[in-house]
Amino acid sequence: MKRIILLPIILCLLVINHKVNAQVPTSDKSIKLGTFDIPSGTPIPTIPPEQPTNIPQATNPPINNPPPINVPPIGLITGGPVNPSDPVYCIDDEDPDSCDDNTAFHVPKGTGGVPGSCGTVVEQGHKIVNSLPHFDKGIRDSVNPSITNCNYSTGTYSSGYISTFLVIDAYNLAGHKELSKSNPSHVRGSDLLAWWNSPEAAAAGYTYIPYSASAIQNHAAGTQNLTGCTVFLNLSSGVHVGIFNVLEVTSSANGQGVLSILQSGVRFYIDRFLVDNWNILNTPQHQTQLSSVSGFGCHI
Amino acid sequence: MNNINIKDLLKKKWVITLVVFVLIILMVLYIRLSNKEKTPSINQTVYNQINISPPISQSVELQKAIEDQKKVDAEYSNWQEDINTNYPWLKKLPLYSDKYFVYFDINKKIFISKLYPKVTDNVNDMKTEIVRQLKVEKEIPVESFKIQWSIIPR
Repeated sequence: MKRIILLPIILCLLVINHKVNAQVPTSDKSIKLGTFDIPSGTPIPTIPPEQPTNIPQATNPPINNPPPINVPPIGLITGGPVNPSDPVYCIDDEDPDSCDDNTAFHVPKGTGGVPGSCGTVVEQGHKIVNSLPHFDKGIRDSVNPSITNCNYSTGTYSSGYISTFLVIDAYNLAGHKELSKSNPSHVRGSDLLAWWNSPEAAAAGYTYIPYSASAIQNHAAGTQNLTGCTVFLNLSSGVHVGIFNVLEVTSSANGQGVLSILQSGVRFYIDRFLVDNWNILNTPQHQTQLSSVSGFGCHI
Repeated sequence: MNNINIKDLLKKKWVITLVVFVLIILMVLYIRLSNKEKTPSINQTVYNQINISPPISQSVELQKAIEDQKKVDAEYSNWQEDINTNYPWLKKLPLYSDKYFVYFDINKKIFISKLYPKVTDNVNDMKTEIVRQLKVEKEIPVESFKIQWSIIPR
């Protein structure tokens, strides 16, 4: 009889004990969440507090054997309207009258290049570009819907999605977690360029390739893949960045073709630069007050 | 008297069962109420920590970095807009084949036309064909600009 009376009391004790134990991981979880680097002073991202952008996770081993360069076949392609899932961009998409010119060039979506544990950087870049505003004339500085991959989310932006954010997000989505949108040294393009040249970045596997005609030639030859690398463009006010998309070669003998980059925060999310003798032409600085592409920030 | 009554009651199985049942119900209610109270407190904790964790000085620095980069991007964007307004046909270039490569130099504001003729090719015919393609097929106002011809025999 006494055992029967004791049974509910023991049950009560067990429940209380269970609840006390359950509170321990809860507080642990709170502490971990508190370390997230979310810019409190930045009103731009519309990310709910329970959905932080930088979720700590176990880092997978980096892929040490990057796939070979996917150099498109010689020549440029033209055509009319395309779907977001198509392997090419129609650069007319960025005009108010949309992609209605069948003689305009298409831009292939670059593949391969800088690898990550969760995909390639350029692949993530394409996802983000799809979330930038299309068809409307204006600045491509909003993101909707957000892109999530590798336990990382870009968040949605109604405005203020600057060029460095695209690079930072693409690298994080691919599995490289060193860059952060809450770190001023990564957010300002000129500082990002300095960071990419730093020992800290080198220790984490980041490499910087200064601009030269031979760098472009090596990419075309398949010996130094620049796809997915960050393209640093000097301007009088600082450094603008984009992601190396693809080099379309029209003549390998003469080093001619078209190089395209992906970018945000500007009027066109794709820019095409002429290449002649393996030199990039018609960039802002080449042609006006600037000194053009300063180099390429890559990752092993 | 009371003691006797309690002992008598405890001897009856249905009373024991009832007591156990009531206690279990109470425990279930207690757990449910506790969980309801806990949920908002977690969110509140996270929200507070997100807002508090970055030092104020870092936020100002970050804001400055963002504003700086916006200016750079705006400069780049203005350049794009300028090019698009003045040379909307630029996206139709280069004009190329295995015998020529033609593009527009936006700095010099001239067309650069590189010809790679074979010995059997007539250079003048090549030039005529290039101008025709630019004007007719690409609808580029080529007559408004100078063409710089470079002939590189193969």
